[in-house]
Amino acid sequence: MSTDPSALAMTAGSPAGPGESTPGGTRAALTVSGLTTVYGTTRGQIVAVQDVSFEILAGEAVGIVGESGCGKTALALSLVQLLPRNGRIEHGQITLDGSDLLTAGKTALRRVRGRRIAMVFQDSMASLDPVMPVGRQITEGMISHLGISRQEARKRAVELLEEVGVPEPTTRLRQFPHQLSGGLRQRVAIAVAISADPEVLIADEPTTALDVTIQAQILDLLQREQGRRGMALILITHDLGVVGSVTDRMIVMYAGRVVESGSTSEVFADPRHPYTLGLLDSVPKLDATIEGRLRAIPGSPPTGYSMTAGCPFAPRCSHVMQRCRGEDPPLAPVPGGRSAHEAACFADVRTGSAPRS
Amino acid sequence: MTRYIVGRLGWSVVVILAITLITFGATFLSPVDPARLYAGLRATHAQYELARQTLGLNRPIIVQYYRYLVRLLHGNMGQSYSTGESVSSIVLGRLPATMALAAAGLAVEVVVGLPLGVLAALRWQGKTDRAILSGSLLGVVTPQFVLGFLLLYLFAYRFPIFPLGATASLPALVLPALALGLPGAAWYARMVRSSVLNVLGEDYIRNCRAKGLSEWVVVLRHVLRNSAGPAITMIGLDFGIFLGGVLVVEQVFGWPGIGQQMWNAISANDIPVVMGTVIVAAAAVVIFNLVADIVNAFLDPRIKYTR
Repeated sequence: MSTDPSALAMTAGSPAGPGESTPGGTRAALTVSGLTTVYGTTRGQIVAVQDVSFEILAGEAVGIVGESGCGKTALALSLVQLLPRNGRIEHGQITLDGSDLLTAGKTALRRVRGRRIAMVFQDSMASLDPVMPVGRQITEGMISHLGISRQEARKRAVELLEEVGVPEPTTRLRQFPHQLSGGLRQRVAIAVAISADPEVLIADEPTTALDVTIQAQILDLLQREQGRRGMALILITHDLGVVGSVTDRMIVMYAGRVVESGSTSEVFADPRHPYTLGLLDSVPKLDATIEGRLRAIPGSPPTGYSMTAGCPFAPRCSHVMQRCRGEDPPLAPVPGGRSAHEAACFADVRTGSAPRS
Repeated sequence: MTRYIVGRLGWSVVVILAITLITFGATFLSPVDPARLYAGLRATHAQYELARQTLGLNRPIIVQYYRYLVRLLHGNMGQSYSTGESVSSIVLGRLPATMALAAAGLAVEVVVGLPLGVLAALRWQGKTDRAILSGSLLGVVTPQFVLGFLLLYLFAYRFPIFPLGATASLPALVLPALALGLPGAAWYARMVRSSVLNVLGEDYIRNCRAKGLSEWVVVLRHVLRNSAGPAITMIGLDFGIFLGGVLVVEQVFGWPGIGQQMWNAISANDIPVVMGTVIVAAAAVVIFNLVADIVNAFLDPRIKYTR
């Protein structure tokens, strides 16, 4: 299925935007630069996402990891501009194929959502309309985006359900969400998301609410669909195991910022931010001795109200130096790292706390 | 679905039976002795005893109740003490006027209240929302008789658009319907606002937007249906309650409905008429509550499984 060229044509901005094809053949599907999102609360403003920039290449799987409250979901919702009422994007650019989504009109944005950027949420019970048969929930997006008839959409919905591994698809189409198991519901939610053949699929904790065995199946399905359709996949999770098995690249977030990013294998093998190091240390390993204990990162992430000068991780950091408390380390290429491995830390975690050159 | 309806129907029968028991029992609490009333104040003891026999009051209470139920099932609710007319024909004669008023009042509630509630929720914390909230507060706190007299004064006396007297005609129906429906509309607006707000905060609504559906489709196809439950329950209850007669509004406008009838019967100690009216009113509430539940079960497929 080819992309509909009219879908965002009316918002085409800069002709030579960052979304243009690069000679290497890898095209950026989505570019985010300087994105800052704030939430207004009764106690003041929280900066949920702070100056985040990254690029997702077409067909690439990228993991966004961090503890709860690190701004992962705020980031995901910012990408499709579906923040709750008290959320607001302060500044930044979200570029899809050369046009900025943040300046796009309502109609243009609607044609991007579901059609070019689709989402799968954590709780499939809550994310499907409880009073509508699941079949209609799959077809309604296709009918509005692809301009196909009801019959055609129904036929495709059956095929989609088959594709995502839902048995007896024609029967299931007529059922309501509460009549399906959690795993089946998440498969339906994925069918809904991929129904209009999007270029980017954002999955926000898609397996967190599921049994471990089902988790593996759903991840497998996501990975298969990503490969088959050439979609870019943004997988948001707190589970490093998930990131390690599915993604090509990973972005580690802390207190609303990117603290480390790079290829998944490199970050796993050679983490450069103490926070990433802590996250990796707190994952149970099969080859660990029974006597060995899991190491947790002491403390909890800042709430967003208590933002002070310096590195936000400094209060919990085992490598903290005097400099970290006054100065916020910028995200920069790591010394001795391969291409595109960046971290925001003054210390060199490989050698203890020797300053970075 | 059939099982759900049959089950609810069974319960309704139980509730109506309980109501007959209560109304039957309540007559014994009344200081009025029906036999004395029937025989006349100057009756001799023998005449009084005869009256007790005629009325069946000398039989055990359980037999009296049984005979009362059997008569009720045949549509016989006894005779009025004051006119001797059959209670069924009295109540049935009043029913059309009350039905017209109930339907018109309900229409005002629904037509005014529901859209305002939805609009307020969609404009949450905006000027429109605040205006609707304050207006509805005014509607909720205004007593029906005050609103009734105000409407009569303004639109029948100062600006005689509608008739002042009670005639069972369409123009005469307008003001009573407004007096009955406007306070209810205020309740509906507030209730619908909060149920729509609840649904707007649901993940599946965010997901609908993430699918790229237009705001109209999201609201009309997903939000409204999911937030309709409480409003439908209330519409059913209200219609039942209105059918039982709306005392205040019928008194203010001299509307010849069941409520006025009830008022007269209470004043005259006419126990059979009071009992008959109460039974009809209670049955109306039970029946339309049942109808609302069935409609809700059709709208929300989860209901029949969880209850």
